[in-house]
Amino acid sequence: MKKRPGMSAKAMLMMSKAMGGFMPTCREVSQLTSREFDEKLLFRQRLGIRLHLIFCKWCRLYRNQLQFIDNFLRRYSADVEKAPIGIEISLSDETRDRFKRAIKDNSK
Amino acid sequence: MSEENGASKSEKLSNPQTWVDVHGDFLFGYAILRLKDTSTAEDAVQETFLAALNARDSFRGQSGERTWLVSILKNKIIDHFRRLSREVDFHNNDIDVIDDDFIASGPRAGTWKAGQRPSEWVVDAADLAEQKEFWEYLRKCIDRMPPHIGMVFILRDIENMKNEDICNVLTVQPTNLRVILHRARKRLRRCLEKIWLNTERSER
Repeated sequence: MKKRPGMSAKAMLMMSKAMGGFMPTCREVSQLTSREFDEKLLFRQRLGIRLHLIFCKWCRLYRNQLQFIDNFLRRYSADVEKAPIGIEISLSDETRDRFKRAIKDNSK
Repeated sequence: MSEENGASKSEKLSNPQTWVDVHGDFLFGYAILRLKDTSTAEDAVQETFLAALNARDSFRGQSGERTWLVSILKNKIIDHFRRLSREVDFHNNDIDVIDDDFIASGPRAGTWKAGQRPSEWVVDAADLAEQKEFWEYLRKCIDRMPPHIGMVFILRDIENMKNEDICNVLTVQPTNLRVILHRARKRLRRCLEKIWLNTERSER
């Protein structure tokens, strides 16, 4: 992977001016990154993110990691029969018996 | 005992007496990731079995028995959050002021504070094999979230519910939901970075 530094304040200011205020800050990019999981962003918002990411290593990391988590969750929640999305844990014998009794009592 | 996963292809349910042994642990694990404490999770599973018992006749067999039981459990969990949401303040914004990751003012306003920048994650596909571990960490991280943030995160990103449905269940405004989701994801990322990927791993 190519190494690109985090954005300097100067570069950020210059880009922001060149974009006529379209260039989002890191704070805004992090907010938009989250929003993008839930809704389609406007063209200028997507463009702003793209441009920002070219210069900003931290936001690239942030965004990749959020997408990684999201992919993971989606992959394992797709089919409960195949992939357990849950903790591996056992019911206690006591609870197991309680459930069985409840089912029996309600089966009549 | 019926087939192992309960993923029976027939359109009939197995004997309810076998449900606890076949699906009990799975449902419990499913519930405990989403509900904080053991007793709430146990209650949800018991309610699921009883509701399934009553709804036996409506089982059509398009999905497996386990999927069907999980869909009932999902509704129990959503009901639980609906009740809980009445006691929770969804407009609580205090935390984030203290918790801000970005510089507030000056020429670098809006950029990452030095100590808050994301670090590189060394995770690859092979690590996904350790998914069991991942759920444990996920649960720990959700437990650390304030209740209203945790609830929203579970319904949206784990249950994959639609935003507008979540707004209805929890009685939250869409704009507010957006802010809460942003905070949830931000917190989760940071928490996983701390407890899953860096600190605890390098100690081994």
